[in-house]
Amino acid sequence: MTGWAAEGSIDIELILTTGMITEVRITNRRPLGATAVLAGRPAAEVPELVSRLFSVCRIAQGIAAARAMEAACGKPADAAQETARQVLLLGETVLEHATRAVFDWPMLLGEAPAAGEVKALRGALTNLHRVLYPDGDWMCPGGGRLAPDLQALAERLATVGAVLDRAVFGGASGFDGPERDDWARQGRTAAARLFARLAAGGLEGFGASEAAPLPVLSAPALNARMAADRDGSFLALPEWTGTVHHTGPLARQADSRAVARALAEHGCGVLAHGTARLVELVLSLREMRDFCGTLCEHDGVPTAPAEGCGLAIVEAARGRLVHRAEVQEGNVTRYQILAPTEWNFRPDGALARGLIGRPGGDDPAWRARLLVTALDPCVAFSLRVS
Amino acid sequence: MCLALPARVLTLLPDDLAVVELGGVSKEISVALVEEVVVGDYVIVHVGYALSKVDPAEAEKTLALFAEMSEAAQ
Repeated sequence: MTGWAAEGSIDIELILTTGMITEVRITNRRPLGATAVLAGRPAAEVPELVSRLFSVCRIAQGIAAARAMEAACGKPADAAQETARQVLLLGETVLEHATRAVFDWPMLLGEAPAAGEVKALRGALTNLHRVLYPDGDWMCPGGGRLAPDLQALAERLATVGAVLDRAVFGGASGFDGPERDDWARQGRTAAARLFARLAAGGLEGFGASEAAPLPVLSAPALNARMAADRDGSFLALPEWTGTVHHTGPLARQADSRAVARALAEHGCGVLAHGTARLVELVLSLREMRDFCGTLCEHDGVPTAPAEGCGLAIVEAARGRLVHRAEVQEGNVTRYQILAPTEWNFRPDGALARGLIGRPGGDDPAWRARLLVTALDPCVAFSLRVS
Repeated sequence: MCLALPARVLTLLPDDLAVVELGGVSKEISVALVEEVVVGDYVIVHVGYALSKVDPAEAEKTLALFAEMSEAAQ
């Protein structure tokens, strides 16, 4: 495996018959066996290694690994540490969702992506952990030295808020029904113009499928399922009680008023996905601001399991992320990661089911990109139409 | 899981582009999303874009870990 190939990709082929998408072939080239390198490593070191290797969503990965180690020794981190972790997770979610809206969505419209706005967001959010954990030990099992710089955090959140108001929300008062439609018609941001384009093309419900939102999963049942998964087939092709699920903002925000209305009007297509992403963006930034009042200094109690098995479930930006570790004599003997992309992009998953039976229109690849971008894989994708 | 590795910046090009190297293989990417990239920096590359700069010592450790991973896979 060369360095560049390590990232992997998702290759999608659409087969059209008389203008309808009749088949979708998905080849997932993600390196699902990469966690094998963690076997034999001291348990205490693994979260840091995980956060460096899987660095696209490094906060979610590092926190999931820390919690898996804490679960393996039955010692959860203090509430002060968990609050700080939640702020970091929300920051990563805001960065990812905002990047879709100011970078990927303009490209769907044929507009130039707002690279300057992404740069400003990344400047404020990429190294947010340094504002809370000056020693860089945010992923330490048991917690690190938490010493929040609240003024710096407030300044960063103000920067993020200004970018989102300017480049995403553009004066939106909400995303529910008439408010959403007015905002889309005004078209002040690429997000608004994308929503207007969906409405103009009658594509609001494009990509809807019967794939169900991923429900809360029983941790013991999930642990047993992953423990038994010796050949990695569950991690590669996850389902739950025989049902295919989707995970991500739409699954999480389905009960919010704006998303519920989009679902009622158009089903779980690209409009509902986009609405859920915007709703979650608003909520995540609000939650971060709320948490600022509860962050406090706290010295974590570094901990590492000697023997045991730990499972951690984290809601990452792209969906449900699960880590599971087995530890013997202080070293990891087996490490597994179940990632959201495997739920959404399995060959018969939400993407395939959302495309099959749909009209391809003038540009079937563009329509497919709408849904791929909505489901947001964590790797590059290619699209081919046959 | 989203594996992304640090690549070293070899050359800066116009229009926020750069040539970076990873494992002896060069590639042109965009550095439009990262502040003040200079030749010799290590950057995390994802889908053709540099996402962030990485401390060189940290980058070397990550690449060594990846080398072990590749060996184990063979």
